[in-house]
Amino acid sequence: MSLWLGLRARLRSLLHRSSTDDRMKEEMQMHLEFEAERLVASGVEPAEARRQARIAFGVAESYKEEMRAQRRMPYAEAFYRDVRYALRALARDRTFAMVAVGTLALGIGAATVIYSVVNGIVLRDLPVTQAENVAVLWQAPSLGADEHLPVSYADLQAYRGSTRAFSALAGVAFQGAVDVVMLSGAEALPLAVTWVSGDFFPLLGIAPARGRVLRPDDDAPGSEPVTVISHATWVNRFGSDAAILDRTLQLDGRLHRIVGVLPRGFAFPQNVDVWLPVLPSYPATLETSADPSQVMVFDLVGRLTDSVQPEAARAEFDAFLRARETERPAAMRGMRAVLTTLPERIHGEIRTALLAATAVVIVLLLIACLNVANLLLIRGSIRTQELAVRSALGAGRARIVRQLLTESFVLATCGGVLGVILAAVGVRMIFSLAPPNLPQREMIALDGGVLLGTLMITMLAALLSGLLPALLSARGDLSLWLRSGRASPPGAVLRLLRPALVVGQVAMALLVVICTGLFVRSLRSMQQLDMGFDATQLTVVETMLPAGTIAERERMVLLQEDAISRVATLQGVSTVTAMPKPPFSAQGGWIAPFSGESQTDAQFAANPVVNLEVVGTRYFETLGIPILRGRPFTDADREGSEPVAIVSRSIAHRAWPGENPIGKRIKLGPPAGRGAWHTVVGETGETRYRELLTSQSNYYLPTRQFAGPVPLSFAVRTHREAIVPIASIRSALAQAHPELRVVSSGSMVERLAAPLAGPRFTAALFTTFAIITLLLAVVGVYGASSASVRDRRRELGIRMALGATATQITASVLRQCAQIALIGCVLGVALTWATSQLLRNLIIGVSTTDAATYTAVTGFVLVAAVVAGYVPARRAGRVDPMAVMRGE
Amino acid sequence: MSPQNHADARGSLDLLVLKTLSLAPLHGWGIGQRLEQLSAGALEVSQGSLYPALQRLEHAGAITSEWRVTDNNRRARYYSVTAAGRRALATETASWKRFAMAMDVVLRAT
Repeated sequence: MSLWLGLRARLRSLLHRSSTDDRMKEEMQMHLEFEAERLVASGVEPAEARRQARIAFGVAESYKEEMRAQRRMPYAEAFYRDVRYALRALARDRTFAMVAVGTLALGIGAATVIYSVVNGIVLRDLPVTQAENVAVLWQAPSLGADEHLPVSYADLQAYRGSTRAFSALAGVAFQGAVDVVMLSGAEALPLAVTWVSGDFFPLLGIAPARGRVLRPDDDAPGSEPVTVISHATWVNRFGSDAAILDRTLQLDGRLHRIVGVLPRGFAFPQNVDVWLPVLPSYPATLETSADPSQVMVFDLVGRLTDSVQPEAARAEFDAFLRARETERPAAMRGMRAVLTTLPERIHGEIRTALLAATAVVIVLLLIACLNVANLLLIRGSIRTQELAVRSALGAGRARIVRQLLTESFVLATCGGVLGVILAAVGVRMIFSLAPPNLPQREMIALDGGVLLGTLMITMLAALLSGLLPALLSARGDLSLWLRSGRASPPGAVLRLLRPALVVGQVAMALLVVICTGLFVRSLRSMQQLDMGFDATQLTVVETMLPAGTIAERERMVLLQEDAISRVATLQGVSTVTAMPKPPFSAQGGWIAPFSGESQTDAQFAANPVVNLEVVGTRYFETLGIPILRGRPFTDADREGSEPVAIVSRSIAHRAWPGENPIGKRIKLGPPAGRGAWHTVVGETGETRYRELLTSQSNYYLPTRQFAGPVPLSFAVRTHREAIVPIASIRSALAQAHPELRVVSSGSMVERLAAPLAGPRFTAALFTTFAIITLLLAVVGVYGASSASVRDRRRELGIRMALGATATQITASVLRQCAQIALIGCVLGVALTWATSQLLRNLIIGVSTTDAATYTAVTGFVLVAAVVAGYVPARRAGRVDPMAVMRGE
Repeated sequence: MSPQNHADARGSLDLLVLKTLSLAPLHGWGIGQRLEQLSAGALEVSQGSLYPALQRLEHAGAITSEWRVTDNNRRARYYSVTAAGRRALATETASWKRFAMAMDVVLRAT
């Protein structure tokens, strides 16, 4: 207590030294006046009274000195003096200070931004009890592709009965299907929905932010339909409505009461907004899936029994799958179990990207520190005179090192403060640029933990940049300057260190710029993928009708056709069609296995699962998908006429290799299944309609020959140059039916941009890094080159006196600079070559050792380095030999 | 004078100042006057030595100070005892009394 008070008083007096001193003087002065007045009042002469007062007081100066001594904090005072001295010194050399502070601010700012992202996403614990003990399970074909195949609800219940490896087991629908939810009495909202078994939340140990989580008794046939929503959905879609628990969501025709809001930062499966219990709420969409317990859409989530290793648990599930094979359709036999831990499942993908970004900011910070170290070295050689004087006046080496280090700390602190300001801007930019599927993005913030990290980074930067220059500058031989009036030539360490720093900088700059080049080229190649359809001049409007508005399918079909014909009459519209879901609405489509006429069960089992599209008549014309053989659907393909299908080339090739598919028959499901045979009337090309990176096999059916839901999304192709306002499409749709609500609308080109949000973000992030790194490296080369010219001034002067021309001198300096840069480039290429393998999952369509990128970047960096060295080299050519000879 | 004795002398001056201030807030000169008055002239300290003592006590949190206006409209720094100061005064007084008694006993034992 009193220690603290004493310290506080000392600190206060340190900061207000003069005011404390003034107070002391004033107080003593008052004292003398009071005493003198007392004496005068008792009859003493005023002059004599003042003399006696001073005698009674004693030696004022010695008391003052005693008081000052009581207040003193020797170390802090020295530090304070050093800081003030450093500030003065930096103020004298503003250019140096600005470059150094700016450099450090860029490094520290970039590190802070990335640290805040890593801290928010990877380092923060999931709001799940012992998340590392939670495993996620699914199945994959034993041979071949790395497919992710879910299991059925019935599998979950059977496995739950037999497992020993898991103490609890729950199911969650793989890939929350994006579905449309209608808010009661409000606009329709597209929300991502998933279904979970009743013990899913209790197993994870989730504490709700509001209300409750789903419980086992919610997941029973016939129980009241309830739902929980994510924290982000509550905040962003419901405006943090305090009365959220009284609201309902309408989904698939039924009202679901919201019973809880999940904790902040929880989203599993990723990007899901709404969780529903399976048995009361799973929709029976396709006729084949009337019994929800047989639908294979579930991943299992299990809590590992204590001391059971994940691999042992996987083996147990593997054995279970094998035992169940006899009950499965042929297509689902020969499966192996796949297991991953929950943190890996949630963060696995983003981790590589963040790791790469972290590595880059470390490199960036290192370059910034090297740069400042270099600048400090140069400054050290300029300041030889000043340091020599201080040393001659009795400052020890340790004292000088401490003073120089203080200067680095002052620089780093200024850089840190500026860096945090830059980081605040950077984090905001990350928010606006980050792809929406970044897990836990709401947890990214510049909070206390991050600022503490920044403080550590700053101190580290001060040490990294300052220690070596301080030690070298305070090297023993300062007295040489006093004797000779010349700066001592740089020592061997310094002569080797300076080019080494430049080599390091160039190498790291090359690493970052090449990686950026790869990311940009990868993005470019993704943008240039052939989509299989023509996205220009297309507008997409997704609508829905409140459940129960129209019951009969026939009337729904009429509504769809009415809507199409109304939009088709709008000015500028070329063709209109209907489809189930717009492209890239995440997982909204339907997939199904198929069997071609004359295929055996074994061949059926080997067929891929294909994308099923139920479409309007002018679908192919509107989307610009080429019909390779046969014909598109017509209005004649309706109820009662021959059932027809159009398939993409890969399906035709799989079912009837080398034959013309037109006229052949094909069906959904196994050859002997319940599905009806469709006659193939057309063959089309493949599209990238549901996923960007893999082109899909498509199986098309006409709306009128399909028993399932009637598609209510519309694609509108406009005439070239024509602009059809979305508002007019909306009003045309409203005329078709006043209850028809628009869920989303926009151009197809905009929709295509969505799946590229991630790669675009990475490319933008790395481009920023690359610009900063390159800038720093150029400053570094310039600095080192200037220093070397200064050190060699005498040598250059003598050479010129002996007949060397300015051009020769400039060329020789430039050659030296180019040599150093070249070594850096070679090292950088080798470094990148060795490490870029780590990026192979993030780079698509380009090799991580792409020769063109490497060559172009190396050339560019080399030129930049030589240009940076040109200014000092020209200065070298202007050295005045006479001045050098005179010893100036 | 050994450092130990010096510390004792300082300690007793601090105690006397604290005691004086416990009666009423005073400025530096006033403390000197009051001390002389209370000890009936028996204790006479060099007036300037009060100031290092006041600063020590203030740093220790035993007293606080503020500028005030005196009765005849002069600006002076007034010191007053804090709660911590009163507690310190109680313990210091007790230990001083024990010390004085012990001295007394020893000196009488001849």
